Amino acid sequence: MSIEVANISKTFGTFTALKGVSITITSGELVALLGPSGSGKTTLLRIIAGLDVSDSGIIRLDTEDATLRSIRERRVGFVFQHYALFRHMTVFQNIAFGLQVKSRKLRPSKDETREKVFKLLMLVQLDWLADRYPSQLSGGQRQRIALARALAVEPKVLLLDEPFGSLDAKVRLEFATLATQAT
Amino acid sequence: MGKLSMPMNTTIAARATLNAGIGGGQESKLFRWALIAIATAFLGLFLFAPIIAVFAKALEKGLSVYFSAITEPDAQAAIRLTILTAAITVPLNLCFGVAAAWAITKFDFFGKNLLITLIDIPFSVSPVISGMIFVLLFGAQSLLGPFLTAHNIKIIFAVPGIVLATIFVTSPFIARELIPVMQAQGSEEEQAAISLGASGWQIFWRVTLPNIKWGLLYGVILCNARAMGEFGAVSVVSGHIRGLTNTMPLHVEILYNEFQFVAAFSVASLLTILALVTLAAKNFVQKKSRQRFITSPVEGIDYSGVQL
Ligand SMILES: Nc1ncnc2c1ncn2[C@@H]1O[C@H](COP(=O)(O)OP(=O)(O)OP(=O)(O)O)[C@@H](O)[C@H]1O
Ligand SMILES: [Mg+2]
Repeated sequence: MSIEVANISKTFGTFTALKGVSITITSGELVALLGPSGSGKTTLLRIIAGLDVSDSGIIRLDTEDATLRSIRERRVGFVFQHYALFRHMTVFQNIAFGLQVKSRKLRPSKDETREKVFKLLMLVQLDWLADRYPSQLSGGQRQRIALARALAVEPKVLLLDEPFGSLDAKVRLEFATLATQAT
Repeated sequence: MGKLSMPMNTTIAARATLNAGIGGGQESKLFRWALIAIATAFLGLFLFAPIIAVFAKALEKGLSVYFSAITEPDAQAAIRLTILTAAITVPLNLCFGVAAAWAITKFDFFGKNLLITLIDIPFSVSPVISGMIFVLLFGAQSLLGPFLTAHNIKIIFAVPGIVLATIFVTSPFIARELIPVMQAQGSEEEQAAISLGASGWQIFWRVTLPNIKWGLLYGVILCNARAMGEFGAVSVVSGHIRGLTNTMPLHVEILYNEFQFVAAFSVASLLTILALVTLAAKNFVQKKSRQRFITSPVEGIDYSGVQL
């Protein structure tokens, strides 16, 4: 899916977080937004995902105005800066969540869900952690689980906020290949 | 030698500062015992003695008198009305509390601060005045009075008034308990759920509710205790009609005013038992909510201090 960000501005009260931002990302491309802390990276990603609304400007997903689509219809996967894993669910339940909340027609069976969750766990190489709770994981493990959870619903675009935040150099490389393979 | 004695010296130094911090040496010991003695004496005088007195008085003339006092028709009616009131009040305030806490912590809207202030009003107003408010609203002299009498609807001096007053007085408990819990949690998990395609309803049941369940239960326990024990507001709107509009606390008062001390304390003992059960349940829930994130410890690793 292609993304077009056209002249997006966003202010919080009197503070301008984004001012006339434009980018075009074609389908299949891997793009990184770089910028110092507080420069508005998270804000822009949230607007693309539909979690925030811009004050002006337009987002087009596949050349269609995204404001016409709900968050669910956008099919945008989001890995949060602080992962936002569900605290009261195991790793398995976290990843299965997106599959279990689908409408009855689209919802996979228990076996299919299980298979898919383990496939994703293998992909992030953490299948041995399926029964742990998020509080029992390291930062890098949490991040990879958050990635697996976002991938479970097969998004058309994957937005990663600070994807390398808690990964060391070696794991970073692995993670980058992983993310490209997955999308 | 120098190296070895180092840690010892530091320990002693540390202890010295610690003692200095709370008064130093012997004096601090004395001080500590004095504090403990005062606290214990206070608890004994104002908490344990009354509890023992209630049961002693209630059982003064033997078990059979005790049981007949609490099974006598007017007492039974009072117990039933109290349970009915709580059974209506708690679920309604549960819905109100969750809705209010949800709105306040997950959304930004106009008038939010006003809502937070309004939630506290029943706490800051004397219960008697809370009762008067309903008399002013629905009593015979009120604006609505002629309409209500014309349609033969009884609110004041009837069960609906008692329920309304109780709902009002106990409405802050659950919301008050939930707001800090939900504020601390923020809305990140909910946003993650949205981005995974969950609907509002699914988010509430699968993400929000499991995260707040212990806080919620705690609020429900406190709300229930107050709903059953409320005196002031209910006293104003009840009319004290025996067997009809008397709740347990009102029944106790009537019996006491009629010098039926044993009967009064027998019914009071039921309320005391309710209080003790509430306390135990409250403690249990508090413990549970503290350990909720440490659910399945893995061998060899201590997660007891881990928090996200
Ligand atoms: N809800 C909000 N209310 C007010 N100000 C906000 C809000 N969210 C973000 N900001 C401000 O907008 C600016 C951009 O924030 P953003 O989170 O997008 O930065 P970032 O580039 O992701 O930074 P970092 O690399 O530290 O994560 C910051 O100065 C921040 O203080
Ligand atoms: Mg950020």
